[in-house]
Amino acid sequence: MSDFYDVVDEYLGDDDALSDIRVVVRKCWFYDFTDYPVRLWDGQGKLFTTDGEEWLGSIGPDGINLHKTPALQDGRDGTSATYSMTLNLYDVPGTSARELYEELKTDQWRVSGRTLTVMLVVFKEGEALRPETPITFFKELTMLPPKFSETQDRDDAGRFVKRYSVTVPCKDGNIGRSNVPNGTYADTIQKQRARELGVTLDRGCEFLALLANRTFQIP
Amino acid sequence: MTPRIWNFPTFPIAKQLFHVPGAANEGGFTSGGARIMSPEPGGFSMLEIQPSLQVTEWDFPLSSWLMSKTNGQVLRVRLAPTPQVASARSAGVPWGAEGVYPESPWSNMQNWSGDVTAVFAADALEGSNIVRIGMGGLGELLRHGHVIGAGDVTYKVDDIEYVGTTAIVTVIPPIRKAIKAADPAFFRPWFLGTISNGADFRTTYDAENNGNIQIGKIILNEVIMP
Repeated sequence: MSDFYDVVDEYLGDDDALSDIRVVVRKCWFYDFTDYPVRLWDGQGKLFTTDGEEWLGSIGPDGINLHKTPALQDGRDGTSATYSMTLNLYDVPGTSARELYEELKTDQWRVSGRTLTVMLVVFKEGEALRPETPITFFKELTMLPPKFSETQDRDDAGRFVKRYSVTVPCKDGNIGRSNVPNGTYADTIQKQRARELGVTLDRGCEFLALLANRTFQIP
Repeated sequence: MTPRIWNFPTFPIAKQLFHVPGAANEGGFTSGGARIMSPEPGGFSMLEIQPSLQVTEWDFPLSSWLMSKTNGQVLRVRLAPTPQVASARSAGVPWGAEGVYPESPWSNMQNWSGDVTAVFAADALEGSNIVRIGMGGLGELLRHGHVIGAGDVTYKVDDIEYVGTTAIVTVIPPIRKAIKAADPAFFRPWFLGTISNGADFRTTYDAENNGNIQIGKIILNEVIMP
């Protein structure tokens, strides 16, 4: 067991006391965009993990998470759910939400096919944003081309506000499993395939051509 | 480009509180009947200010100015000397003179003689929550519930332990900007925030009040500057 699960076990205890159910575990999201990796976590403030990475907290002072993520389901049943990760864009120092939105549009080629790794972080009692327990792997997803959305509505104070958001749909490793494999068995193809995998000579399909269209009778 | 920081007007105030509410996840009522809440790691801080009746609006319409600074403008507030500010009170009254009006002139600092500053005794990394302060000859002045400041950030003393003349302080929220040894530790700190309740504290000038105005309670949310 890793340190992470040791800490979780320690806090869970024997599950027989009320205080045993208090473990603070949060998700960390590592978007590995081409050349621009982005790290977010479901919390307030900047998180520093033992691997030396910084994660930006996406929960605002009102407790609302600007980074909207669905619950992740277990993939062992073989289904491939589509998860939509949405980030609401706000004005940040030096860049307005609109500029950011337009810049993200021009950078959307960085997204498709890249991986989104979900990690878990555990906080011990009294620990601030520098937990000493290493984070642990939770799930890996593959990102699909992103979607962009802009709307205009009125906020509570009566101001017109434009809201921008970016959504990255993701699939887990089960994507495409039901597709027909794109290949045919033939001697040349099999040898080429084997070479690509580092096998110098694969003679497994050498007699396929001879055996084609022949009728065999099982005695 | 960093956003412009505005100085919060120094007008008379009636009430002030710095607190670190953070957030919590609610659990259910368990079989034992306890209400379990898991506090948010880290959390954030807020400053609530209740201005008193503004009687100098004809000359300095600062309330008018402030009521338009509600769209996320960053304001720098020097905390007024409430009991949250550790002062040299034990060595004497922080308000130097008797008979001044108002008795506790929190805004204009008239006769205030309680400002104390110490230095940090060790480095503290961003995101951690323990700082060491060299108290020198100040004694055990700092207590639970006092505030301390580093740069423009205000922290609450969550827990404190004295080892010789060094105070080992657990702070909330976590350290926002790395602290170096020998940096000044302000006991009457500055706070950076944005007004989060612009619609609530706004008040109109009324003819029957002769231009005096009583604006509502201002709630500022912490701002973390890059």
